[in-house]
Amino acid sequence: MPNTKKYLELVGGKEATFRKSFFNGVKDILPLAFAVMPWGILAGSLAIDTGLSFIQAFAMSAMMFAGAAQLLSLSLVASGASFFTIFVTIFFLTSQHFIYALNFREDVIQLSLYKRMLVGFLLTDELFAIGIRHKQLTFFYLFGAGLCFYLAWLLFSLIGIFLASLVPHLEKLHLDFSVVALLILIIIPMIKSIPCFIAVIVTLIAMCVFKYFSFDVGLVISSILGMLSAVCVEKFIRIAR
Amino acid sequence: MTWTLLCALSFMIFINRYFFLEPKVKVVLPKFVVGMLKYSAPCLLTALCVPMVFFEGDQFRNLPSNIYLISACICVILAIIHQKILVNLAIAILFFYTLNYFFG
Repeated sequence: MPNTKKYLELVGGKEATFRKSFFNGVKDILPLAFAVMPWGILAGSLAIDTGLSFIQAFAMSAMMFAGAAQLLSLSLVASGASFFTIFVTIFFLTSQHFIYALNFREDVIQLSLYKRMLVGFLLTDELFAIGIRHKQLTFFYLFGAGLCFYLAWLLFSLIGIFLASLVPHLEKLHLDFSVVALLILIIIPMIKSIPCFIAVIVTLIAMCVFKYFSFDVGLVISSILGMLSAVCVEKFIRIAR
Repeated sequence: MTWTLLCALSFMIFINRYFFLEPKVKVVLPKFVVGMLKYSAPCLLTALCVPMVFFEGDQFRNLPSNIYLISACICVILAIIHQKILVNLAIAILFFYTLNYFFG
């Protein structure tokens, strides 16, 4: 019997081949990979409209790999903001990735440097959304999901780049609702306790307030407020018992 | 958008993502922070949704005629009733575009 151990990794307590983990990752992220189509097309076309060359526009999606950050930095460039302003704004806009990494740290930290950096590069909102549903994460699962999403992002960005002149008002098509629907369908099953429910409500209200006043760091602050509320409610329930 | 800015932003985003995955970065979290982390997913994902549902760019959407909000509520109800993601997704999107067609 050939030694197949080196082709196996532990996925949720069961042994699974690298290949199986990889395709499980692909399968899980596929709906989100489709849902991100309008964002990718928008990112590509906006880059061209802002005056970037074809290579720069493609490089933006390939190197940054962050939809909201790409769109916002392009608007900032178009409005003539300084290097420093853009850098600091985008730093705060993407600060939620610190929390993603903290959540995945336990599983990823055991991997080699090369694999860790690969996961780090592929760690997007979407990879977090599907990864967080598993108690234990493996490299090939994350790599499968991450790579699939990355290729989808590149493809849609390319389409946006080529269609730049033909994509003036994508927002009229309201394609972003598919992302909302998917996120809701992921969030609802997560709400299994009162503290969690409170956390979501607090985050919702706080985010509305921060967005109204255009605080870019609102995403992280409102999430932290929600998380804090949950822990407080937990403690309150424990004391009340 | 110069190449310098592009490279700087890309590198910064990568560091944001990689920083806490590096074992040499010693992370000693107080107990309540560890407790907080288990709620990070629902909170972060909710915070991501909110701008799309309640805002049109920077403008707060008009509440009674907010088709995104109505469709999002339907989606929540569907998610509570049963767990079939693709079916719920199809129904929610269909509902959204139907509402949009008649009232958008």
